[in-house]
Amino acid sequence: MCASALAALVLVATACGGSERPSRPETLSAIAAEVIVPGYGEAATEFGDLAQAARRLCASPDEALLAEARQALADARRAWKSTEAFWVGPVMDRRSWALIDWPVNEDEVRRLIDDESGPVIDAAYVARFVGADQRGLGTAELLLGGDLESLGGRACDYLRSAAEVAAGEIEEVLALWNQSETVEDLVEDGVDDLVNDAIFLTRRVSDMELGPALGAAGRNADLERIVEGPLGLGVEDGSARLSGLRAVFVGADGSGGLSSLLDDETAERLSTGLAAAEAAWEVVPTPLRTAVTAQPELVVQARDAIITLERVIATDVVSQLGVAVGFSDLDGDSSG
Amino acid sequence: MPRRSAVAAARAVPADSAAVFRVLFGLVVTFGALRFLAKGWVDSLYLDPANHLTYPGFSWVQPLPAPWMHAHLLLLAVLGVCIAAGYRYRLATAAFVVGFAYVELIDAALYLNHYWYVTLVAVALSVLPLHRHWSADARAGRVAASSTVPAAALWVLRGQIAVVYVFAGVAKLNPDWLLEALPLRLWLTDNADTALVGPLLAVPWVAYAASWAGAFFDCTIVAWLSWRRSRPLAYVAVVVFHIATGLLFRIGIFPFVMIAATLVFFAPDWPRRSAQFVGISGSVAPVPGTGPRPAASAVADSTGDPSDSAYRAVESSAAENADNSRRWTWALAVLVLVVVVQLALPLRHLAYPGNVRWTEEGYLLSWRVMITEKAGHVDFRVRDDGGAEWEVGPELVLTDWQETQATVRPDLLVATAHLIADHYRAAGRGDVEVRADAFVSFNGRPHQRLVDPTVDLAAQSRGLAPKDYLLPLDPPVRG
Repeated sequence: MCASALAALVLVATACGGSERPSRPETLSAIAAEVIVPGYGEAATEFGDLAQAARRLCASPDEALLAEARQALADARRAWKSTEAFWVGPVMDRRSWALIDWPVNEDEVRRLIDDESGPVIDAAYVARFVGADQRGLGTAELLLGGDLESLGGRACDYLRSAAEVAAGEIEEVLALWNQSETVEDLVEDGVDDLVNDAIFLTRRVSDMELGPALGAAGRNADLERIVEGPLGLGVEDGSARLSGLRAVFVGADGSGGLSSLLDDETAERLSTGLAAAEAAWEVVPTPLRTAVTAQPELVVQARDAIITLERVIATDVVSQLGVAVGFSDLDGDSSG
Repeated sequence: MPRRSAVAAARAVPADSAAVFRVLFGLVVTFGALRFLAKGWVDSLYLDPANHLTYPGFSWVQPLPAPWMHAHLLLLAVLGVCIAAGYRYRLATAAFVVGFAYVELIDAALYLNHYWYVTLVAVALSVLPLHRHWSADARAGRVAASSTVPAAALWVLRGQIAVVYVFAGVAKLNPDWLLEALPLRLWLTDNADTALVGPLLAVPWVAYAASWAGAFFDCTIVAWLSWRRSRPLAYVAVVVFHIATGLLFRIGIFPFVMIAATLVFFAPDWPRRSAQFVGISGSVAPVPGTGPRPAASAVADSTGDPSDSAYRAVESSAAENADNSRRWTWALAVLVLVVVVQLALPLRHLAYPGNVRWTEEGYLLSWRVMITEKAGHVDFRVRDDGGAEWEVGPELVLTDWQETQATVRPDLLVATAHLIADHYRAAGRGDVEVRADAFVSFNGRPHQRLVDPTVDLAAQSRGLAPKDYLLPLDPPVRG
């Protein structure tokens, strides 16, 4: 009786002034369906293509197939980096981000290749016995960055295996996102996760990578903080990350995403911040490490634009959405 | 007049409700301490951080090393049980005050209004004679058993609750709360996926209704609880209000604290009456001197309601206490002083320029409960005496939960700047200057700078003087 009355009250009340904006569950469902699942779907396709290209290259090595494999790697990396804006759920639970994209330990990779009496390098071996810093995109890029001669025998086995294991991992993530429970988890509490991930991503770029590389974090510039392999894909990485953020915040077609939960003014500030960061990033020449030393003013400009975007997300968006920043579950009654 | 007040304060009333207050308080603080341990907060909040954002003048208060900090929380839980049982009550309450205050003083980023309330009540309990009735001390003969307490004991307990509600209500009388439904509009929308009532929470007018209702509730609930006729309904409102806020917002044990504490507004013998009502009166001895129809000389209680039998004085005790009126005059003087301090603390913000919710000068200890939504972002620029300049984030010296508070509270920004300066001094970089690019969004408004970016915050003191490095809210917001 009471429940019926309450339900009736809710219906009447919502009918008498309901918000035009979509609800959080609707918004998060749309982000899952239109951004996250297609994002991992594209990554899975590109990773599959990379594994195929590696197999073809190893079967009959030539310059054309090497170039094709390098392009496949660049495509896979771009697709992967654009998912960084929604590293929530399975990719975090499975630590896929580390398995696919950990900075490569070149010495260990070379040691394994050079150890002719060592174990056979195949996908099963890489998946079971090789650490995060000796697999994934970093290792594939390291191997594809060399010349054709360096890709013989065990090196090509390693390339093929690394690509196949990475493709398998992203397929697992995609399969989990195709399960309704994963989407339900996102719908239940996804706003905080997505916004925190966005803050962490922008902070990683500005404070952990570009800042130290530009010398903003101390007396000496530290170029090693920019994770960029021999193919020099750092600028493309940045563009992909920003496109991922755009998809999460303004939707796949530019009319949805988390912005639909914000008031118009805040959504506009966010959109402006995104556009400014993209524009500033677009003019940074590739490769990124060279740009940092050759044209630092452009990189500084790009970093400033990203910091501005981070500020909008960490203040205006967090405040509008009532996001609990960080992962503290403290009681709170003093202020936001 | 003072003598009449002293007589009224000394007047004996049944001790039942005061004893129940003691028991519930002890149980709630025990639950709170055990909850702290169970959630692993001793580690994450006290032991894990490399630094603590101490209160000005209290940097010497540091957490005990493990496992002593855990043992300390366990001790607080045990002391809560002792308070509830009335076992070694004086010692237990005094030890609890010291132990609880110690925990609260460790990190200013952990300040919560309800912990301040718990501290004040614990201080009050340590001086009030709430251990002579339904207590282990009385049963063991360590104190003379008494089924009455001075009326002043209830005044203190009720007065403390009144301070919380009234100042929390007054703080809501500002344009943001009343005219913009802020920040409730933001927070309720955040709960729009709550089962059943969720869609209601996303409706704009509901936020306005809830804001006005919340302000009305806080401003008037003490009056409704004090009036005998409205008291039962008012208490139902208290329970509903606090359960609702407890379900919607993450406010820990606060709802339990207030639901338990406000029972003290009922007639002093309500536990006995309730027991009689449910048919277990035989197990509870009646209060000597009280009966179905009290003596004609009974005087009105503090509510001014002479028809309320439970509030009537116990004749013999009143006569006896009247003889001690000089002692009570002094006690009243102390009580007045406490009242003055309790009024001054929430109003001290008037001595500072700017909006207290933005500057936070005079914000703490003033019962501004859940009236502001702030989100901040800060980067620090450090310059050494050689002229080298670099950037650092607050994460250099703070954990994420400390950072969340430090980015929006100017005093904690300065404390963070001090920690950064200490960090580099310890690293051999000498005395450094620390400036902040600190931006805060206030109640959903576009972010703006909180502090002057040209000021060396490491050189700023954390005293009570107005902070001239604070930038004003633009455009200004009243209240």
